Amino acid sequence: MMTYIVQTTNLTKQFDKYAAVTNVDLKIKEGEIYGFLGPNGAGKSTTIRMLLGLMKPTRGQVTIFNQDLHKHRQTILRQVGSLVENPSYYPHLTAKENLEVLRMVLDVPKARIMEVLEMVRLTHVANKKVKGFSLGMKQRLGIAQALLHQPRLLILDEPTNGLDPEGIIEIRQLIKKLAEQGITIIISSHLLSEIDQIATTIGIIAKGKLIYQDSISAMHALAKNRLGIRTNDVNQTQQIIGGEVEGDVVYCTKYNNRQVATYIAQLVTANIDVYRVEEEKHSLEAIFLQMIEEAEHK
Amino acid sequence: MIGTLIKAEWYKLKHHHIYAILIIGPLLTLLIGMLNPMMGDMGAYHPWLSLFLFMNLPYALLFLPLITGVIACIICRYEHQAGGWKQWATLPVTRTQIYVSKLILIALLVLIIQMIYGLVIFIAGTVKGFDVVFPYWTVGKFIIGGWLATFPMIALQLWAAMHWRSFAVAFTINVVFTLPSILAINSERFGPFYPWAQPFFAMYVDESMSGMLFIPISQMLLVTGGSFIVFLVLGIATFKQKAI
Ligand SMILES: Nc1ncnc2c1ncn2[C@@H]1O[C@H](COP(=O)(O)OP(=O)(O)O)[C@@H](O)[C@H]1O
Ligand SMILES: [Mg+2]
Repeated sequence: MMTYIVQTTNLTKQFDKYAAVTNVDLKIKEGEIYGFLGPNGAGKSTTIRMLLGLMKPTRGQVTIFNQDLHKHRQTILRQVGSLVENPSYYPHLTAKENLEVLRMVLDVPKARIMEVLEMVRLTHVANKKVKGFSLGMKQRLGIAQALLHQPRLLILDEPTNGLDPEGIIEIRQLIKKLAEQGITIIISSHLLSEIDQIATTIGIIAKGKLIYQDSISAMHALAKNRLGIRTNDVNQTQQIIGGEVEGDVVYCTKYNNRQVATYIAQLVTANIDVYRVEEEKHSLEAIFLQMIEEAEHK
Repeated sequence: MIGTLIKAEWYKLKHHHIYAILIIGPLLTLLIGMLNPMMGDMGAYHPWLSLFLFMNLPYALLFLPLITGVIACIICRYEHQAGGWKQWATLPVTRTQIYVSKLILIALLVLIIQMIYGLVIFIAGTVKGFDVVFPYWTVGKFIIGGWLATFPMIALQLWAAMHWRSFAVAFTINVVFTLPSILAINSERFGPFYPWAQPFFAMYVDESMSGMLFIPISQMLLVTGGSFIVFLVLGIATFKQKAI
């Protein structure tokens, strides 16, 4: 119980009759990069809004730094940096002025402004009005804003939305660097590949329900490939090469090139007709899609 | 914290030509006063009194409430534009502090407008060469009285400007409440209870020049103070409940 930096219990949000988030129990440990994955409309932003107190849960509890968010909101938020959905900014102010206005309230040294602009590589436009920025630049400014007060917990809701591939790589490197400094990071995305490349733990949300939550390596373990062999005699085939039978196919999970060659030779010697030898790739992607599909048909 | 928040709000007004907005009400009033042909025919009266009669009316009845509404809209507009509310609400401050800091800034800006107005009438009378000394006390009283009388409007307009993204909607509400004041001040039964008419009553100067008259002070406090507290409490409650 005391080991989680963010923990929610039965977190639920109803919009009228529509359940956007249902009984979500997030468990996020200090120092993790927590990848919060789910298709569009799954309830990621709604969950994040509740973590920040922007929206009141219909039901359930949010505990951050072992404190009840409802009771200790200000103390908690002092150590949280966030970027929710689209970047927030004042269009008529420059990048520097946008940071200055936050700096006044957060009461951090002025020098920190140039530091964070440097981190997101916006120093060259520090004195330009933000209304002329590209989406990618606004997104980076949003991250700079979130980092201004050196938060212990960083919550980034789809921070790479609208970025070009180069920008995405840059943000990824920045996030990794921040994690190395010990900051706990929650990053949401609707793209598995994005989360897979960066997260240490993954939480998958679909239709408002948290359907999976574990380390990224545990998720990878689900994604083992296997070799399917179809012959005219399933039972004999299994006796020869082992593995498991599913319908008229024998599957084995340990196979390198040499083994495959040996299997085929053995089957041929035993006068078995080999129809197909296929590698079935259970990519992470396929597993993810299957999870989502199951959740959506419930 | 409130002090810091007010400073930050003031900082956000950068590049907004706020000085032009502060000065426009008093200047328009001056223009109307100068164009009024009756201004010259008031020889029998105290010269400052006739100046107040002609200028305080359009100022307190129209320009002051309208400009107050415009300021409330501006102070919320940049929050509506690109997720400002969201960012402001994730700072380690309470929603009440955010709301109240905006309210106080509007009130301070209106006070500046009132002082500019005082200066404008002083200059107008001096240029005209009034031979009677400037009634500081009377002017001071109606400037402060008029200012206090705008508090309910400030609270309601902030509430509206916060709630509706559209500048047009918030401003229309402002106009819709302001215009009936013209009728309200002519009604002895209804007028004293209409919040938007309060600046007019507070700035109405009669022949005795003692300021703050026309309706009893207790009643004005009740109407102004009462409606201010109601609008303020409702505004804060709405903002606290608002899902951002
Ligand atoms: N303020 C709101 N009122 C009604 N429905 C909402 C509101 N905000 C979000 N929703 C709905 O809740 C669901 C989850 O939305 P969201 O949390 O934004 O998803 P995600 O961030 O995962 O794309 C969506 O179906 C969305 O339409
Ligand atoms: Mg979202």
